Formats: sequence, C-alpha cells, structure tokens
Amino acid sequence: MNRTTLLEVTNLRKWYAIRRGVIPRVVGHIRAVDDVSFEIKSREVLGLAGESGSGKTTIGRSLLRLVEPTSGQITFNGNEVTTLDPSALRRFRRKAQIIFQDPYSSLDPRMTIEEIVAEPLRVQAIEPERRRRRDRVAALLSKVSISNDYLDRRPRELSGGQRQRVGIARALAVDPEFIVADEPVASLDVSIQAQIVNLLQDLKDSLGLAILFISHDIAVMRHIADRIAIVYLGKLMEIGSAREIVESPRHPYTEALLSAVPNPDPRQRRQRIVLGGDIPSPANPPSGCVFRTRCKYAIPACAQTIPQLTAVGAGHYKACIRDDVP
Amino acid sequence: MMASLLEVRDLSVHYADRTRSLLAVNSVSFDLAPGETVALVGESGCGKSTIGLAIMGLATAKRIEGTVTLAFKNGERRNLADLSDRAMQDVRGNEVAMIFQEPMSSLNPVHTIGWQIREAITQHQGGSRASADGAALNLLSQLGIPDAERCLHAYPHQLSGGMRQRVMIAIALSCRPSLLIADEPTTALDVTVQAQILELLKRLQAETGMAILFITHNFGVVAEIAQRTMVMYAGQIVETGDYGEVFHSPRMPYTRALLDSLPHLGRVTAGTRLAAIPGQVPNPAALPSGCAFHPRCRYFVENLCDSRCPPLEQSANHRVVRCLRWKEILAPGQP
Repeated sequence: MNRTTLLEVTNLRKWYAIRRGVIPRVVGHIRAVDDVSFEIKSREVLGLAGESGSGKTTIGRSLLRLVEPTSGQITFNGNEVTTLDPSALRRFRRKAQIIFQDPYSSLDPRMTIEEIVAEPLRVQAIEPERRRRRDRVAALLSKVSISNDYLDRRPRELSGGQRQRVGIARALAVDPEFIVADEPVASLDVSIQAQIVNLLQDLKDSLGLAILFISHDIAVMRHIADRIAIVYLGKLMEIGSAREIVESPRHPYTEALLSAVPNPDPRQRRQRIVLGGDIPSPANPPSGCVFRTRCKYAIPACAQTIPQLTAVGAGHYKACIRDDVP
Repeated sequence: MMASLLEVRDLSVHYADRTRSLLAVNSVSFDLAPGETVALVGESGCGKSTIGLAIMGLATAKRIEGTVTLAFKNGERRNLADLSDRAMQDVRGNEVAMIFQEPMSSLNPVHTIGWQIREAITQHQGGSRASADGAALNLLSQLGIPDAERCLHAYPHQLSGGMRQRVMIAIALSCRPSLLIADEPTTALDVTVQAQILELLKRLQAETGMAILFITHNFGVVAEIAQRTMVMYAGQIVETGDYGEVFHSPRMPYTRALLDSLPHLGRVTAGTRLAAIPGQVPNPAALPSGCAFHPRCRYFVENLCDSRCPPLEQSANHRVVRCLRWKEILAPGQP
C-alpha cells in the first residue's frame, strides 16, 4: 500500500545544557535526542521503543513542539513545524495531539469530565456555543465507550482505564490526523491494557489516524504498530516493519532487548542475552556507537565511527557497522 | 513432603474507611516450603500486596484475622499474629524480609548506602561498625555491584534504579532470612535490568536456600522465577497450581481470561486484537454477590454464579480452583 508521508523528521536533536558555577556557565550537554531521522505515513502506527532514558518521550514531545528541538527539521504535510509562530503552532495542534502515560496526573482533578474534553474545543474556538459543545463532548465520550452519565463527574470518580479513555477523547476532540501516544497503557492493569490497545486500534481504523506509539513494552507494540523504531541513548538503532523487528532483529541492541522480555509460556524459553551494567550517561555517551560498551559483538572499530542507518532489507534499516551480526 | 516453612490459614484483612469496612484479603490459606518460590499473581487492588504486608506485620489494617505460622531458624514454629511489635522487629530481617517495587521510596535519601546496610546488620546482629562495614562490602560485591566500595559511600539518588534495587536486596538479605517477600521488585525497572535482577534473585536463592513469595502482575516474570503460582481476584485466591499447568490449562475463567489478554511477541499478524476482559476490577467496598468475577465472566450463569459463593475445590496434582462451573467448562475437548 502506498501512503503519503505525513510527518518527516530529519536530524532531530535535543540537547539540554548543563550549567555549573556561581555565574552559571555551560559545562556540557545532556544529549537526550541526537540526530534522529524517520518518517510517519498517514494512517500509519509507528512504534517507538526503548528503555528509560533512551529519549523516546523527548522525541514524541519535540514533534508537537512541547519541548523545543535544539536543531533538525520536522515537516508535517510538507510544512516546517520547528519555525511555526505561536498562532500557526496553535493551528498545527488541531492536527496533532497527545495522549499521556499517567491518566491520574494528566487530568485536572477540579474539572468535570465535560470541561476536560471540551477544553481543546474552547481553546481552538472550534465550538463556541456551550450547548452544542456539550453534545459534541457526549459524542466523543461515546466513541471511547464512556457513558454520558460521566459528563458532570470528576476524574477521581473514574478508574484508571476510564481516565485513559477520557484522555483519548480529549485528544480526539479537535479531530486530529496525528496522535502521539506516550506510554498510554503503561500504568494500567493487563486486562484494562488490552481494552485500551483495542480502542486505539479501532479509532485508528475508523478515523484514519496516524499514531506515534511510544512504549517500553514491545509485546504490546507488536499488536498495534505497523513499523517499529528502536532507540537507545538518544540514537535510532533500528527501524523496520513490526514483524521483521520482532522476528528477525538485525541490530545487537534490538536482539538483546527482545531476549530480555520475559515469555509467559514456560515451554518457550528463549536464549537470553543479559546486558551487563547500566545505560551510560547521556551527558557523556561512548564514542562511536553508543551501544558498544554493552554490546557482545563490539570490535575496536565500533569506537571509531558513528554508525549510520543503512538498509538491511526492504524498509528495514539499522545503525551498526557489522553486517555479519546478529 | 517436607514440613512447610510458612503456613497461612484463613487470613483476612479488613481496612476501614470513614464510613465502611473493606475486605482486602478474604480468608486466604496457603503453604510455602523451604527454598520454594511461589508467585502471587493478580491485578491492582486484588489484595496481593496486603498479604505480604500482613505476613510482615506491617499492614495498617483495622482488623486482621487468621494465623501465619512460620518455622523459625531455631526450629520453633510460631504464629506471627500472636507476637508483640517488639518480637516482630526481630522476626523482620532475621526470619522474613521484604523488598518493594520502588526502591527509591524504601531507601532513606539522607543516608549513604553503607549507613543503611550497616543499620540493618547492627540492629539485628550487633557487632562493631567495622565488622558491619566489612559485611556490607561483602554483600554488595556478592550482588554483582561493580565498585562496591564507592557504592557504600553513595547516596540513593546517585544510583540507577537497578542498583537501588540491588541495594534493597542486600539490606533484605543481610541477616539471612529464610523467607523473602518480593513485592513487584522489577515492575519499575526496564526489561534488561529486570532480567539482571531476576537472575540475581535466582542465584541468591540457590546459594542461601531461602524461600521467595514473589508478588507480581506479570506472567512473564512468573514463568522466569516460580514453580508454583496462586492467582488472586478481589481478595480471594481463585486458582493455584504448578505454573506450567496453570498456564497451559487454566481452570478458573478469570485466569483464562487474564492469560488470553496478554500481548505476546510470538507470531501475530498485524492488527490482531487482544482479548480484553470487559468491565473492571470490582470495588472492594461493593463486591458483587456470589462469585466476585461473575459480572465479567463469559461463562456466567444466572441464579448460580451470582447467588452462591464458589468454594475452593481441590483436584488432581495439587490444583485448586474456585469456580462453580469449572468441570463443565473444562469438559469440551479435555478429559
């Protein structure tokens, strides 16, 4: 299927300055995101997987300019996002929305469910008339299977799964084309997690949404993503179709990450690659390949050159200088 | 069969709200053999953590009923529920220890790691500061902490999540307890770090022969660490058995539904829907009548499941199941 490119990210970089001293002076940088490039097609779900500190949340927020990128280009439907002025940025956010991880802290406890879901309609002046706005909120809530009885209730009366549904309804209020879903099921129980993943899948199909699905859980991602991108220490390690990434990973980090996911089936024990040590500090990343300090295939050359993404199959790329592994 | 290390009988824990009383744990009984790992599995609010806290004498409940009999290292068997707070302080650490999900909130932020391990050792075993320091250093290196010397002088915020959990394990095991209660110890960690911690716990168990009550919601972790599993729902144990058997032929519909709802990495075609369980976990203040799972159960039968509380039934291979219809449900296809 040929789809048009909706969002294109080129050499995205977000460095945070480290300042020290009485007269603060920049002494270094935390490289949260470092030269990341990828694209998302319309109606596509791209999974962004990585461990804590890999920069996946920073990438997601940069795309919506919730954090300002240090450098790089982001184009949405061909228009540059990084240079938008405030009023153009507001218009852009009619097209691009976000769902947060924690449905407890992302809903204002003093607002009613109606006020929460109506807020984007009010801010974007999409539906200024109050009565019509309420009808529209009711319709949005029914899309996420929340009954109208909840319109006047407050978040504390809802369970975690219901709150996440309200967060999704709020993101859908402006009728966006693109949603960043930042760990939308990480804080939910397994049985509820499945409900929310299915809901996102249905909405994607019925509304034609493109989604950047950020998660540390590759098993959940496997069910919803068309393609998966793996990030480590601010760098893109591998990107390809969800099936290929999971079934035949080509980057040593992807291989190790997949092998660490515990399998509930006791008969299917995988050969596990236990990574030694911790993720290095993004203030002082290793030279060359950032993964080399924990990679069992590392050779001296890995410290010399920063590996570029190279094709290893149709639409499948990895950033690793060794073609022979894994 | 070996004499059990821990015998929990009819443990019930009532929490009190301003207006009502909540039954968080409802008449739970189980045994734990020395050196065994049993996984206690369930969703949030099912009472699994409360059981761990009740065994430790740390549950801040309105009323706790039942007995918790522990075989002490000196051979005595005592009901922990009868012990005074003072006596329980000696039990905690020496006989039973507990580790928690978030090591950052279990460690004291204003003291060094060395200070905190030393505190545990001198509290329980006395001895000089220097000997405790030596023991602390030993423990940390045993736990695979690189540069253990520097770790002793570090503060909790200077360590990564995985390191902090290792320190918690070091403190918990400093006095060689015969039972470790591990309450979601890897839930806050990344999968690669989780793998390291699970390997570490398995190795330490092989070395010390301690038993582990492993509380988790993650069946993948259960498969890694436990031989036997107990599944909980709404304060009750609903199924127990050898983990492999429970995984391959779950009998309680809740266990079955929970296993079906798991996302898996195996061969799935893109867009496969997950088998979600409808509805949500019931509020412990307003439990459904009859079987607590009946409003979400696909095998629900009116006037049966909603009117009678299913008892725990024993079947072959030490399998136990709480469902009025499990035999009927099992019948098609399976002997």
